[in-house]
Amino acid sequence: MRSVMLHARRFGMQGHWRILAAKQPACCLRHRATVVAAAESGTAQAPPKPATGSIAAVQVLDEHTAPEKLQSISTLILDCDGVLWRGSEIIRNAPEALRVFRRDGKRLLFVTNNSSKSRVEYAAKFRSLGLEVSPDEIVSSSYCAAAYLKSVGFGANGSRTDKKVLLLGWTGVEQELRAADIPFIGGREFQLPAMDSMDAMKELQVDPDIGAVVVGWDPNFSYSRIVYASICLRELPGCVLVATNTDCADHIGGGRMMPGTGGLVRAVEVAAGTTAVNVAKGGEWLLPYLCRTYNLDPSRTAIIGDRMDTDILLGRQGGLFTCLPLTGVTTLERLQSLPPSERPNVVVGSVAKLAGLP
Amino acid sequence: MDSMDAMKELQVDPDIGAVVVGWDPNFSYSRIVYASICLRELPGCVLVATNTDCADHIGGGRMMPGTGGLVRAVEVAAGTTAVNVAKGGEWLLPYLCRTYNLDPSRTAIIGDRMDTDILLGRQGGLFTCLPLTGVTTLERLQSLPPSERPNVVVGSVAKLAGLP
Repeated sequence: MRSVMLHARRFGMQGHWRILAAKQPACCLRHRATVVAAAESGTAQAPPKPATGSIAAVQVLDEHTAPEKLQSISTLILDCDGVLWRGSEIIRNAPEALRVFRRDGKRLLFVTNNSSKSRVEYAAKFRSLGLEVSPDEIVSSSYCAAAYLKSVGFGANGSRTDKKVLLLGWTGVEQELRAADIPFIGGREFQLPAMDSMDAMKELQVDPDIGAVVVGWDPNFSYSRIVYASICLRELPGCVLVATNTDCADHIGGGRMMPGTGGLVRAVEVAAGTTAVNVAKGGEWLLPYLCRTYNLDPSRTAIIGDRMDTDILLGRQGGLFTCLPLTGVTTLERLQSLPPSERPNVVVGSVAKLAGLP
Repeated sequence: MDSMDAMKELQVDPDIGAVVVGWDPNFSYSRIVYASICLRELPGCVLVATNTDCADHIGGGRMMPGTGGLVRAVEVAAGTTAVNVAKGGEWLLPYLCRTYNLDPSRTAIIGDRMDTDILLGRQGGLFTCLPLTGVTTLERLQSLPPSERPNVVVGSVAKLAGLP
């Protein structure tokens, strides 16, 4: 708490502060920091200029000054974790904010890098937190994997309709592959013999119809799975590696982080000597896909997300309007350290402020 | 470790001061979780890689995943970098010189990999010999500028002993 109070005094911010997590959330960095949520009373002021230089201070807008920034915006792309909820805790006024956006005629798309759930499963999570959403509005990375595979010919009527997928992942991706009519082996229940000898690895016969290996969040990830995937990628001509996302680690509360899909993807890349296609935020494929599929006009589209390296990057790739709520992994200090040209267009305490709510 | 609850509840042994990753046929997501928690939450806990080789030939044109990918998985999950204690890392050669009283001017290394064996030799100013019985091909050597090639290239180690 002491470091939080010092921070509050230094920046002259009033109101209530909540410590979100004890760890520096920037992907793959390992140093302690305190993530501090913006004051709930909405009276946050911009911090004073840092003593060291003449870089302009980050302006944090509130519920009075933020909404007008979205006046000409007709589509909002929203990240989920760190924007609408944190773990299993809803962000204050997030459900009401969505209602305001819809009332104002804005179209909503929820794009998340999480691959453990299908869109339908995600919709259930939204509902359980009081958020009204339809599965069609959700673009989860599990769904992206299936969409990408369809775009390169997998599934019925495609140029690679005879091909199967090897899935190293969980039930969410399984459901999306089934929904897209893409045959696969693997998934949650896939059992393999132990690969603890060269003989075992030499004798392993892989399914010759595998045309792609998809790596998602995989609690059953194992050396045997890496062996199987590596053999497919090295020995089956044209077999491609797809990553549902490459996030390194995620906050799960209590100051603890869980390993993300990124490390699993790297293990397969290194073993197979190849590079994965990343179909999530942070990769090259997603934005053109979203623009095509949802007829996005970049000049009237905003992205609301808490991560610089995925959400804001996606926004900048596409010339979208970028908004960052401080309820997630990125801290004010981190933003302050960036040159103004690299910062998001708008920084707010939470997504609610963008809807004029406290 | 198939839920956030399971990962939140996991208690690691607080006396762990290092995580060592070697070739691990029982490697798993749960093991990555346990290692990552140790490295992130136990002050001073270090990550050690027995080696970082990506893949190895096992015959019949097939390759097996090496320790390198397993190490990367833990590095990425834990947000840290491993100390590589094998050829290819910074630690080994000084250790060998100290422990075995090596005189670099009278020491040769005979190995088939440019990125581990020959690298180790060059790091230490050793005499480097490469037999063509392993992973490096003549074409590969030909493509290197002369200053980067091994001191000696032979058909096999036997040739260095005057044998056919």
